[in-house]
Amino acid sequence: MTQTRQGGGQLDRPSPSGLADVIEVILDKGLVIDAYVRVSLVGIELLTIDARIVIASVDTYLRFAEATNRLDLYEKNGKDLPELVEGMTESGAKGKTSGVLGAAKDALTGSDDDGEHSNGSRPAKKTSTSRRRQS
Amino acid sequence: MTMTPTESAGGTNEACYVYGIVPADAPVEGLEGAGMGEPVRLVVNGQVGALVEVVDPDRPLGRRRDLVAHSTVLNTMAERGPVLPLRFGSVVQGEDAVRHELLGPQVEHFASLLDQVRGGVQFTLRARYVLDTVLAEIVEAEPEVAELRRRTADLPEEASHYERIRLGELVAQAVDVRRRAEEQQLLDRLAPHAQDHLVREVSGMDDLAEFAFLVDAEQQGELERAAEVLAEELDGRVRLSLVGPMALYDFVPEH
Repeated sequence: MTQTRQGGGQLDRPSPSGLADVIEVILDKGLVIDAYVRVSLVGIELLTIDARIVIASVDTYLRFAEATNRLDLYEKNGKDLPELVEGMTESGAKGKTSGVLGAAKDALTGSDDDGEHSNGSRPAKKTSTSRRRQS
Repeated sequence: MTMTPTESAGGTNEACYVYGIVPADAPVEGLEGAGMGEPVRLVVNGQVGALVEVVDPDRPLGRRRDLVAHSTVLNTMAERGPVLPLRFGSVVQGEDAVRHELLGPQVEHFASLLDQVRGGVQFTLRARYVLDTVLAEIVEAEPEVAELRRRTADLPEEASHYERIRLGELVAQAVDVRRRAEEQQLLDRLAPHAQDHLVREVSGMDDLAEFAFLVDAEQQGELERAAEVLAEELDGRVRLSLVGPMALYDFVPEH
């Protein structure tokens, strides 16, 4: 369907046929045909896998901490992470720190970077989205 | 794949994927490319019809195309008139069974449900934080967060593991407090433009809220404008996206 309308404003109007939105919208929705008729629900098991992953865990906290630490606020003596990474003259200690942070960041965000990036699927759901697509 | 259009001979034992129920006179032209590969057609009994497509019973449903087809066919029909979506994956064995077993005993019932949903469409509104903006607010508002952030910023990950967890926990809680308050504020602004709504649970780090709205076709512009105004107001801090109009996946009357 082509009803994406960008009214020139700030409101995003994604097409309802983006995969992430489709899954979100149609999962477990709609009338269920009663058993009196020769019916089968085919393939449902593919779709009911943990559609919601509750994120309230150490992993979440670390991701919030990482995002907070990464903030480029003026109070940070004008040194933000990219400068540290690229600073050839930085001390060994600082170079090591940014290396560790970089690796941690990769580890934490790695799973978010693969799979489906259709209009704005969210981190917590990408896992299940990409898993589904394997079938 | 070539298809044989309108092979409605009946008596076959084909697997019929059923998208949903519509009035018997619903216009189904123009759905050729919308389905899973075969033509989508109407199997009628009395005042109601089922939107069906022949599918291979041995192929598990769940491809991207299957999901998108389900949604596209139903949303397209919802723009033309009332639709009752069936649950994704509903397959009936043969057109006769669709006509006589699925529709037959329930023609009146489906017709009355269709009357109830006539004129309604569904929208989904999703609100997400611009995370950096909100995190900066939190750092500014919460001295303990600012302090922990300063302390952990220059330490190696291993040396500050527990402080980082504590920092993240405080930030997560602060985001949650904002989320709860602002979800209600968003709803107060939008719900007056809808007949009904429901609040969906959200789980992503930057998620603020998600709502499904049932709106009258005449109200549609009203809700869209309200969302546009909100999006302008919140620009830079919260991003809003409005999906629809769609079929009434969340608002089909129970029985």
